[in-house]
Amino acid sequence: MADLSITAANVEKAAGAVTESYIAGATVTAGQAVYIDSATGKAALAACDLTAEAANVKGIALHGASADQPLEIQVDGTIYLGAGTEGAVYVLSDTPGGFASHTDADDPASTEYTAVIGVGNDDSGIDLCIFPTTYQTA
Amino acid sequence: MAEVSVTAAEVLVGAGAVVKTGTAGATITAGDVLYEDPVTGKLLLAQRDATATEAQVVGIALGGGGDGQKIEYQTGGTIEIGSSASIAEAAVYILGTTAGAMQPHTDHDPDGTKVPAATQYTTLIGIGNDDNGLELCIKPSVHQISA
Repeated sequence: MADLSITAANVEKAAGAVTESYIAGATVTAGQAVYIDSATGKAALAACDLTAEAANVKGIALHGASADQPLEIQVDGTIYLGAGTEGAVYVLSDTPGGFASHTDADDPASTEYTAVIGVGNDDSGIDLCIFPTTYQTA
Repeated sequence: MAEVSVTAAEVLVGAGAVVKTGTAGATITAGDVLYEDPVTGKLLLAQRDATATEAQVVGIALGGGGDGQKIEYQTGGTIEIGSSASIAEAAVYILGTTAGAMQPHTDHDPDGTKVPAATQYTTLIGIGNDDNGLELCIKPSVHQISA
């Protein structure tokens, strides 16, 4: 399944948003999924096909930032993205910072980590349920 | 995708289990997926194809009981479902259409029918681990795939 295509300017926190603040470790765009690098403590782009740490998604960037700039991310509640399918289950993808609609029990592929992002709502957003794991499909 | 066939005697709490106690509103078996009746406050069997209320999952039963009896249910952490259930590692599990059941998520059946179908509610249960169990990430929703 293709990554959700997000226009950065559309990204906004919505009902029940829980946010946290970090320092970006690289260029981050609003709407990208990030993890926290254990060595630097900085936010980097998450992906399901690299390391378990890179799949340990922490939240979704609420704005853009360059390396070493402050970055606010949303970790829970509803996020408005200007995109999304109601009722779809979204998981971290193999594009750094990306996430896609989940398809089946073989998704993500073997050697990739399953990390849930949330469920699409009826207002072009996602009700976040960020839940990274270290498990891989057989 | 077939629903998970749970053997009640194999259902056990795992690491980091968060457990609550409630009162059964009907006959409940270990491994059943539960919601709380907002009128009676009792626990009943959840399913995604009835009302939004019935899709508001609160946890998985850890024991069995009849109407009015105490039930322990797990709301977070790892739950052991058992080897008989053939839990798939890394699969995403959602609420089923049979009362109290869950199933691996797929976005469509072999016949092309969307899953969950329109008028059904997408409620996350957890992710399969490598030890016949689930890492619970219960997330009920009122959202439905469009037809």
